[in-house]
Amino acid sequence: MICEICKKNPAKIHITQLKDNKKYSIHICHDCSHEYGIEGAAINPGFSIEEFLTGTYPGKTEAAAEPLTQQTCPACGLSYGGFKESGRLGCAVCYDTFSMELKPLLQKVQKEVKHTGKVPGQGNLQLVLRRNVSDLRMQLKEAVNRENYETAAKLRDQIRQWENDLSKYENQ
Amino acid sequence: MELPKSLTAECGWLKAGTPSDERVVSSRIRLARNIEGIPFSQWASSTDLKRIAEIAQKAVSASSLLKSADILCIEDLDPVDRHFLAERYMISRELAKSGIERYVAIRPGQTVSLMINEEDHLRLQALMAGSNLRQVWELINTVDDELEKHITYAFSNTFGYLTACPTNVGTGIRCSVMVHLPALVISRRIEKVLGAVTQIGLTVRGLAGEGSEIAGNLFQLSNQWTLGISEQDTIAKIEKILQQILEQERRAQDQLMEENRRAIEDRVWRAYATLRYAQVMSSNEAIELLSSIRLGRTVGILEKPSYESINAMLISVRPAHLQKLAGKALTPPERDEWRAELIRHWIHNGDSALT
Repeated sequence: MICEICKKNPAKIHITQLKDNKKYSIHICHDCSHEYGIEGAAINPGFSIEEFLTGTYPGKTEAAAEPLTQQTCPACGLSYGGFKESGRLGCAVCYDTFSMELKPLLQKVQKEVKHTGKVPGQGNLQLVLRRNVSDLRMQLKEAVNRENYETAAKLRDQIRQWENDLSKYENQ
Repeated sequence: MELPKSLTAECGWLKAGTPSDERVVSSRIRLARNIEGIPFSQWASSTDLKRIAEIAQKAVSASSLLKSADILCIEDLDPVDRHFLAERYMISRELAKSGIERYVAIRPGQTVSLMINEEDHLRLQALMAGSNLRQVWELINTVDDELEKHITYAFSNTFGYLTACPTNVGTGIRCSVMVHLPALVISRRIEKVLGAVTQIGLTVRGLAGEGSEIAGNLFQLSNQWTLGISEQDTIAKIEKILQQILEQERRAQDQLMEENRRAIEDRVWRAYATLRYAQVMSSNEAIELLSSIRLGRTVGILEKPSYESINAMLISVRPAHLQKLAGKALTPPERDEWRAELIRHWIHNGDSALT
């Protein structure tokens, strides 16, 4: 099978998407998948075969080429590029914002990516709940990224429940 | 603003801690902490920095172990005073560079200091002489618990204590022991011994910490990992490796004394003579000679001076300390003369020397 985009190389990547009960398939080579930022829908969830086939897919956009580095921290406004330049994160929320990018980095420089030391404020229920919610959100992000939608749905429900508890607690 | 008298007097931590293997000069632990909801210091606005300082100072005054601490605003200090504090490890070189809203709280006795608005909002540090990491941990952990009652730290279940640099995230702990390893250096075995250390999550630095040169055969052994390993395990690991290194140093010393006794005796006595009579002395020369004197004590060639006083002299010969002693600014050539004079008096008067 030959690549449907360049019509030169052998097609190595086969993507199938379901949308409105219609099945869309595309067969492309590595080079084209890289060039068009469609290296597996897992990496670029914004890619739609339907759009691609109907010619409405934006194509080689910057967002598609480097989808993760464009994000900025909602709390302090730092971009991942800004962090890479200075080597310093902007605020605590950056760890949530850039968790996907930071994990491989931490795997290299640290022993493991799981805190096993002292835990502050364990007597403060509100604080403990808030940290649990933030933990689940990170897991949710990872599940969505891995297209593990069943886990994602479970996590989402769990987050809702924890948040509910938290707001009840805070309104007391 | 003048430094309080209590801070310019003797370097208190040199006397703290249980006596231990004299090859270990000091044990130090620092904890990196940030306040929840405020950007890290480097990206914080002046209003944020002020808020950080206020929250920290409030917590300091509520802590039983820190409430009698001297709180100094770095910006208000003379550059010599800033370097003076850095030379005795009360503040980091980074904090000494100044900037607005930077403070340090120093506990009487100089075993605990809290830096405010360093790279992280808070850098808590404790240090003692000798091999006393466990004792230092007990102390710093207690102070950390006290501060935590008044400060909500930035913390996540996965990443632990959140810090500006990902190399500190997790426990935020950096444990360092400073060791004197002259025999391993003389017998050219040091690189092999220390090279093995860096492969297991530890790192070795020079006398003055990060990025500094190795001087006087003094090495700082510290942990690199902060995530995925607990504080206790970090300390246990350093202690274990430290014991192995000390054992190697002991063996190297025995071997040197067996095979090259005269050469070592000559080295020690030449160092002694130079320290006793030299008129001009650079900082580097002083540190190298003091290292030989220290070796002389360890292998039993010299009976004096005491380790405590040698360790104190290693700090007293540094530029800002000399200028505080002189009570005026000194040019580098003037410093070399003052340094030589200080050391001559110290050797002449034995242990009653200035610290």
